[in-house]
Amino acid sequence: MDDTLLRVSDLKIHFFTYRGIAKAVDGISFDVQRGEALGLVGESGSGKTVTGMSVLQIIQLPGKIVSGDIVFKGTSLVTMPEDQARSLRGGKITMIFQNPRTSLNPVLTIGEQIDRVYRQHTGCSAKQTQERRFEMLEKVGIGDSIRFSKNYPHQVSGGMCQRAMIVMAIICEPELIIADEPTTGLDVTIQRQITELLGEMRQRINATEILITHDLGVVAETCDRIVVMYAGLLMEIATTKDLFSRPRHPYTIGLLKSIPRVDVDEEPIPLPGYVPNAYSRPAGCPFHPRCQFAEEICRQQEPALQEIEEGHFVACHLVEEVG
Amino acid sequence: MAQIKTLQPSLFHSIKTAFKRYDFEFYLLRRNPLTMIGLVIIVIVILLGVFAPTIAPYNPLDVAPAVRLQGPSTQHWMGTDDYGRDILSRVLYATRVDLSIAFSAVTLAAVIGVTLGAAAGFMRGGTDEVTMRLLDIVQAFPAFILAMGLAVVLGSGQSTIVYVVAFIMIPVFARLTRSEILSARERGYTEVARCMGATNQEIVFKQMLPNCMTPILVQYGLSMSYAFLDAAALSFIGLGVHPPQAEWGSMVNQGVGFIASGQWWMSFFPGLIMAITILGFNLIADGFRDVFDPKLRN
Repeated sequence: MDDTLLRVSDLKIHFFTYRGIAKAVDGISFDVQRGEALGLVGESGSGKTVTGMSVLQIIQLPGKIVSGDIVFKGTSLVTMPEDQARSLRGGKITMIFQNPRTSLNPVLTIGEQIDRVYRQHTGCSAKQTQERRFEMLEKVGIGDSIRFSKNYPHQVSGGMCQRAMIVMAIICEPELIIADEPTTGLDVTIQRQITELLGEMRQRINATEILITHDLGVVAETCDRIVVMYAGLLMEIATTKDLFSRPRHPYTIGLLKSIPRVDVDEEPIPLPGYVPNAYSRPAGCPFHPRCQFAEEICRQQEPALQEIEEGHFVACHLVEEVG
Repeated sequence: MAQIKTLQPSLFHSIKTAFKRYDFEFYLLRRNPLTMIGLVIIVIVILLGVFAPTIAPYNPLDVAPAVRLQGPSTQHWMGTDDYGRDILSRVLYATRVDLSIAFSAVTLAAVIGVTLGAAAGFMRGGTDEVTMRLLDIVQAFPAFILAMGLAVVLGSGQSTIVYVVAFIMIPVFARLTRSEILSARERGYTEVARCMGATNQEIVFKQMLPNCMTPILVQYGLSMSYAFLDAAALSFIGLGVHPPQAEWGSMVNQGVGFIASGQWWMSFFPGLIMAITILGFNLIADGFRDVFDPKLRN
């Protein structure tokens, strides 16, 4: 496919610590098409954030990409020299983080922090940068951009901080935006605004997005396709429509059942148990200890990701039975 | 939609906004009278030092055998020494010398120490280990003994004192900065800066260090007092500033032999102003520490 913007193939990221090797990501492959919004979904500790960070090549020791490749527009990011990778970061590929308050530097004004990103990647003069900053701030709905720029992060609300973060992330018109739980740590009402704003901004600059979240509601509204991760492995890849109407993996089914719904008269059923520890993932299918369908084969063999319908991949031995 | 509250824009307001982060701290500083006393002392001492040539009634080096060893009087407020030099004038000039020694030494130590500590804390691994173990070695010596040894090797003199005092103070700044950088490394803004393509230098100098300045400034104040003490002590034992030039430590030393015979003023006045200056810096540093360490707030 020519339209592949990012291709992740057999990516393994391990953390080498005193306690042993934590396999945060252990062999995942997926493509991101140009212009789409891809949701990366999973519980805490499933390796979503690490995957996002690996695209930007900011995995810090003791973490290491031990195998696999990440190809952005035909160029491998894994083997790319650091200075080239740095010019991509914040330029062509950017990331938006959760908890906007802690993501901004408390001793610098918001304006200064935005300007730094833009000047670094474009080399524009201070005046041009300032104009561009005002323009972008106004686009994200900040009326008094001059005054806002002079504020320190603690002087404005969390939602405003996240708007500033979004400006930092899109001011250089990136092709790929990785949003790592961009609404976590915000009020529910603000979450909605930020989600919408992010979608609007993304469309305006025609960027591709990888949305990392555990919030299936946000994914349902904003993403075209969804990748479900569990314990560093892929469980299911499908279009949003397919995934919500015909989930095939028991984990996805469990996740969807655990969401309270107002339109159906059913109690939400929480998934029992926890995500396995990255140091000691269970043998076979990582989900089998929590899976109600688990059989002998699930305990012994790790299921491969198989395409059961066009564009719908599932990693489950019992996909025929469960589906 | 949430809008930033708009107030009447004015220069005063924008200055106030810039300092708003520290408003509470300034308030506490003002409330703590001891800190204010410290501040006043330091300002006076600095003014005395800076304007010594204007204020001093006599040339500090003028020998006048006719008036030697005179007690405090209206002509010589602090008396004269065994060469008939005016003690007040000498004390004022000595203040100038000691202030410049302490400021240069502590600034030098801070610049080197902060750089080393930032490098160690940011790079971790081998750099960290090597730097910190070398600093351990420096700190394993009793600081003043090490300073004496170094001063002997380098040869006495004003610049020697600066280097030696700076050298023994480097580890404190390095350790402090390292620990601050270690915690700044884990902050969200560091990761964001990296994601936005900032280089390591930019991350350290433009993102992390500005966040570490508070404890470093407190340490700067504390170190000033030690620098005065060390500089005076080195001069007292003859390893510092050379004799005709006035310096607190050497003046005290010069007067020591005369205390038994009753000429107390020769040692007393330089010692007094030294004690007051050190008190001033200690009060300020204490006040700052109380302000920035919420655990000690009462």
